[in-house]
Amino acid sequence: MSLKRLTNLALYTTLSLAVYAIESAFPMLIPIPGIKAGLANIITMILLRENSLRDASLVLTSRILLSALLFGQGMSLMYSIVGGYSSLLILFCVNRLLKGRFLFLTGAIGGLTHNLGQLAVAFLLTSVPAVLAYLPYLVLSGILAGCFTGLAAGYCRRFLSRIDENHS
Amino acid sequence: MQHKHKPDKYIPALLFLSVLLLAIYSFFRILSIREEAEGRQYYADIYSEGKQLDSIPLWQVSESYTLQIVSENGGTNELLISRGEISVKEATCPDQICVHQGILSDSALPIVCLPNRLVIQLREADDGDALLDGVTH
Repeated sequence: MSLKRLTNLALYTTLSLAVYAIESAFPMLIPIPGIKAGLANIITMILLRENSLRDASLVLTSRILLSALLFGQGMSLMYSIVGGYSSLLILFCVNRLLKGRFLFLTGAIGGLTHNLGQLAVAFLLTSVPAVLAYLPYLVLSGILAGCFTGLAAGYCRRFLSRIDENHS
Repeated sequence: MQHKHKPDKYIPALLFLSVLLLAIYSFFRILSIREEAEGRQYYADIYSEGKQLDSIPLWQVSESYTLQIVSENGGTNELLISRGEISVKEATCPDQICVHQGILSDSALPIVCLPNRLVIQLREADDGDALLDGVTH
């Protein structure tokens, strides 16, 4: 890995970690487990769109591990990993399918996958069928949050990719 | 694929429509989940780590009391149980979602504390099983 690439990815990791920290500092709007904006996903989507699956998964892995180390506790790591990687995989496929266009649509499907993955973990860990009552809430919030982060990624990527070019 | 431009046009439209329909469907499911709790009698089933710890007949509670649940990872949730309702008063989990979920007095949505793997679900006392199926599938 070249020094330039390492530095760039470190920069993206820092950015997504900062966004994650800012988001978790906000008071919760809706007291339902699993509902959040998922702003750090913006960085993942930009990397997927502008760089590669490899870069995106490297930054995602670093972000998940660092955030678990800094803010999390044992169980939240499990949710992050399952939600993060399942949505990364789907984001990659949908982004391919749409050829990088309609990022909001890609984001919506990614957010949906993220929440479904987390609900599956919640179901496995608690093994109480009642947690599935949250399904429609998580589906709707995943789609809406994903739309928003997708739009944000679409607007931000121009500026972020310019950073790459200027310093190359 | 005879027309090369065809998938380009139809795949996004198809994806968009299916996501939109799913969102609308979920929205109406959420609206229909609301439940009239007036005059119903509920058991509060408390699950920890997937095992049912307790089942409290809430309509029989005459005086409020607290109950401490300690999970395997060492986290604790302090439950406040009153006549007809139950809530999490204090919890050691970082997100405090279970505390913010407030008072549970109907069976529409359970209180869930994911870090401590605790679930509190109300179950109607008579013909409660049919209702539970309707809510949870």
